[in-house]
Amino acid sequence: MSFVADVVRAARALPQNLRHDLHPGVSADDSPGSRLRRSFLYHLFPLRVTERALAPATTFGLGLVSVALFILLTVTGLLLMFYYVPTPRDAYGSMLDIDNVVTFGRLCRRLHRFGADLMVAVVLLHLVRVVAQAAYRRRELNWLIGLGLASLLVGLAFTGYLLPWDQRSYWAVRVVTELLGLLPVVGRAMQLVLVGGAEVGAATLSRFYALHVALLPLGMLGCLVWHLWRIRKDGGLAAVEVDPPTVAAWPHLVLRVSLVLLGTTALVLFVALVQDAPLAPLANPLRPENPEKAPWYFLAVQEMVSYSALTGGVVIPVLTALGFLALPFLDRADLDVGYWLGARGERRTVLVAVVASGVVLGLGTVAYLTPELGAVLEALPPWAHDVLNPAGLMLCWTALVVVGTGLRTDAVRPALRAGIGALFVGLCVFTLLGMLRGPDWGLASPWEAFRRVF
Amino acid sequence: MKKTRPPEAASVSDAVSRRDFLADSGRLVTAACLAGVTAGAVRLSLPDVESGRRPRARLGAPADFKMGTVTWLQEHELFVCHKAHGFAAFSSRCPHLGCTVRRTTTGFRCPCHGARFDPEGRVVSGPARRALDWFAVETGPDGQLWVDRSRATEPGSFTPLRVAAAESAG
Repeated sequence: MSFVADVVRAARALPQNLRHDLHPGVSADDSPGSRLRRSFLYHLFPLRVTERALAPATTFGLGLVSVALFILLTVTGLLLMFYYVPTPRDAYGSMLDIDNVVTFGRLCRRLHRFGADLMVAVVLLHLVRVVAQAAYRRRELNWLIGLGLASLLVGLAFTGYLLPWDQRSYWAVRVVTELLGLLPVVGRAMQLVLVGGAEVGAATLSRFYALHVALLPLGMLGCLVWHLWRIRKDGGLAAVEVDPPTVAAWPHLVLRVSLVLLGTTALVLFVALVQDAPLAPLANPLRPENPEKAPWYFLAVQEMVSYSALTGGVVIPVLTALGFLALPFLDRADLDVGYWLGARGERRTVLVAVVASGVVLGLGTVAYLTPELGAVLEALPPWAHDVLNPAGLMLCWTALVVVGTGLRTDAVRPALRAGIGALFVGLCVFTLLGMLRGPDWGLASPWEAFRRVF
Repeated sequence: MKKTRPPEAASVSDAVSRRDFLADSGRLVTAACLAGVTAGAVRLSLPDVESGRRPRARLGAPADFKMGTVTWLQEHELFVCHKAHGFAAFSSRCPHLGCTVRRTTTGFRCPCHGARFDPEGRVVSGPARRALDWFAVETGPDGQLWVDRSRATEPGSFTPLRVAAAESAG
């Protein structure tokens, strides 16, 4: 009967044995918290962090919020994959099923949609934070990885936009793939690879689906891990202090990280509970809606493209991308790295440039829209239309601001910051104007535009 | 026993060692393989067969298009125009970024970016840089009206068709 006794003894000792066997190197009387710390958290976080890194106003936790949203989007995206069917015939129907038949399906789709919207906004703010603190200095590689992550995010937002196969997604993709074809040298090939044929159709949906659920998320996961690892390799947050005061990562850092993760999830959940995710009518390849509006983060590009496809859709995006890639290699100053906007005199110069940009670009755009100037411009030859428009004005003005601020302050960093500020102001003007566009691309009153959105 | 270098080896000591040569060769082969696989993957992604419509398409009997009207053939993405001096067909696809234009009282207008065209598809204002595409129209052996997209024509060039004139008169 010793067999039975052995089994009973083993069963009794099971909880202790499990704890011991599954956590090698940890003694049985350690608390669960300490086991978690040793086995997992200390591989993610450093042992000690600077007090400054923990202060909310240092980074506003924007990078961490993006990570939280990436996790949320991965989980909700995987759940949506259980029901979504990536064919032109069934895609829209499966969206309706997710919204109306699947238990929690509508909530899941809302979480995915608003999580994605928020991620675009938060990543943009994260980029602004890094520029405003010159945190790219001595972290050139991580700046480039970050830009890679940002472009992967744009790719994910764009490919995800087609999947519902509604009017908005279909026409947005038709327009953007036409734009890609205008890129020099590689444009036509990129267009063919994305569209998979002469027309946006079944082949396009298959390719966008593969990109959206596999290739781009895996690329993003890889780059994200690399990005986070580089932060630790580069010695934590960018700062110029020597021997700054530090605190233990447990519990100070871990507690704050948990709060940011929870808070982000709670925020998206709240929005998803009160607001419905948009779904336009089924895609009709023969007839766009009137007006056909891009999502908010593409509105500025849509507005610029409505002036000139070449200037607004190709020249400005390409030059902006090149400018951001070159940023840490142009700005070589080590002063004030990790602090908001640097010295006081420099701040005023940048502020003046930004305000002046608002005035110049705002007035320029309004002038362009008046019938009087419109009549003058219409008489000009076609090539002039590609230059003499608000997008062209923004390009020239930004160049002017960079050169002017550079000459005035005799430094590279304020010049670059003023230039990015001018660009940002211009894009805000175009986004606002894009929101006001109504039927036949005419301008509606703000009230009408507001009513259309909500 | 340790081998001593032969005296002439001193002259070749500056040359690449066997170890470095083999390592570099290995790197080169790896890089070449990766480049080949990447090129193959890109080539695979480029479709060899493009789905799309045939250049020639039958539009219908000439009598279906009344004199003085512009008819939108949705499935062909074409406007067919019948005037006293003949027939013409032009695309309803905006030459700016490919949206479908709509008819207005003064011509055509694109809902995506606001390009405007006159009744014969020439640019009036907006981001379009060229007119709507005009294609050659002809009557086939079956007496029906055909369009040939491989033959572009100038905006405003109508094809006089006697058959059509007789039918529409009758």
